[in-house]
Amino acid sequence: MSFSANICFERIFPQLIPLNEKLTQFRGFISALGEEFEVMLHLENGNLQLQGSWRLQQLLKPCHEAVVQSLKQSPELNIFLLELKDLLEKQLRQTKLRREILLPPPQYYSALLSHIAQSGWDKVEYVDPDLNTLHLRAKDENGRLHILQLHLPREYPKKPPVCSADLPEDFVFKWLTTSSLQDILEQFQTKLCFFQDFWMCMDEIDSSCWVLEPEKPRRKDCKRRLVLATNGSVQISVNPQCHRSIPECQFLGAERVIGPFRDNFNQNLEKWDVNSTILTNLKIVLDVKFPSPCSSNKEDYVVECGICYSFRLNDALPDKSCNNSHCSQLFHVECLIEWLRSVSTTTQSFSILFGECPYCDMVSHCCYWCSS
Amino acid sequence: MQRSARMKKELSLLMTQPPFGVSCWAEDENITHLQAIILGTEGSPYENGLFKLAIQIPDRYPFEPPKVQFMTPIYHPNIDNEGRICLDALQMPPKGKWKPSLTIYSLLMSIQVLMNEPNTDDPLMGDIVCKVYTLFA
Repeated sequence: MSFSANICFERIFPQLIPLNEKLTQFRGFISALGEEFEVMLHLENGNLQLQGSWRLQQLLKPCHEAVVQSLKQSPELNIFLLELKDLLEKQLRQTKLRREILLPPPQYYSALLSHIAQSGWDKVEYVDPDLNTLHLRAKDENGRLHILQLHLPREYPKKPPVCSADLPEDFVFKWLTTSSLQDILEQFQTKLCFFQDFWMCMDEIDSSCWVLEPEKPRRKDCKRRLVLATNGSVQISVNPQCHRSIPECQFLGAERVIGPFRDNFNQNLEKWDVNSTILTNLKIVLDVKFPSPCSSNKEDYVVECGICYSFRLNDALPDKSCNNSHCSQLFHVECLIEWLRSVSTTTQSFSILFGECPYCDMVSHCCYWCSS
Repeated sequence: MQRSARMKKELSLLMTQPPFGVSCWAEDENITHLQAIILGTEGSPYENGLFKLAIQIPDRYPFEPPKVQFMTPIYHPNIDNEGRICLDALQMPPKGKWKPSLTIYSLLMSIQVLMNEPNTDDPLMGDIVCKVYTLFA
């Protein structure tokens, strides 16, 4: 391959100036799409060296191979420079397009701002600097505050925003191209109305019982683990759609404590009255007086694990109790398995580990079922 | 993981309600190395003595017993010249009797009891037994 410079390219690239009489060095500018890039060309023994500004280098970086190839194939300098100009223009168009994809069109902002103004700026709890995420405030009939989180697509308002809220079920809403934030807020309010009685029942439970789990109940939480007595608790799972019907109940803790409650529950199921609240029903069906936060300390019922001395371990509570009714010591399953595994006298049959309770030393009474 | 939660509870208990005649503390906020001092019980050969102990908490505590050693030289049939203690509660089962229901608190109490009542059936220092046995008998 050899390069020769033809004087005729001066007409195509008038901004390139030869630096010597032999026409082996040039310096000047190549213009592409109205932008100008500084270049230095150096011809030596038929080889061409191309030097350019930083911006030129950045633009040509993704198509480096194409540049090298055209450098090899072009018989003349002016043909190479024309190809280089083509490549540059192609790259410039692509970056311009990319920039347009990144930012939403102006209509997005004008629509969004007018929609916020329509709903009232006092409803806005949070908005991110890019105006893509919006948190709206809504108060229900009983004065509870709710936050609706919206993530707006680029095509807003033609496409609906993605909404999420602290509700027991997904927030589904209707959206037309003419809809605004106000429409979403109205539908959100209707949804809030629907759950008023459910939250009333749950709030009653939270305020008059010791709730072990979740640690801080959210509006969407349908499960509660309630203290029945020391070493005994019940986990109820309420269906938010028909929350006054019988919830799913799981009894946890020492068998001596929870056995009678389970029997009561099975015997008194027909006494469940859908017109009463969950708490009232539970009190009747389980025949229990829930320990109340007004008259007792949580520490009396929050029994630590006998091994690690903590209550919450990786979000697990001490669930496993010693089978000896005189001991009934509670452990985290994880702690108990680790201890039994480190003692050589422990025997295993399928997934059941048999070993001594670290507290009462009774083997026959203290076999633990541990699925590992 | 279990160690840090448990040591926090144990240390606060040792601070607020130390066992009688015993003090135990963590050396510069490091929960893995504890120090303890046991006062020689009145009426025992160790009366008026201060006995310093070093306690090392292993990573797997409370699934493994802590390592306890006398730093003060002591003349006792179950404690050797290096300060190592022959006590079943400091060993893993089946040889020993360590279990997670024991604590630093209860171990220090056991060591205090051992000082007053040597276990002559299982001596570390055979020559001491003969002398002490007559002394205690």
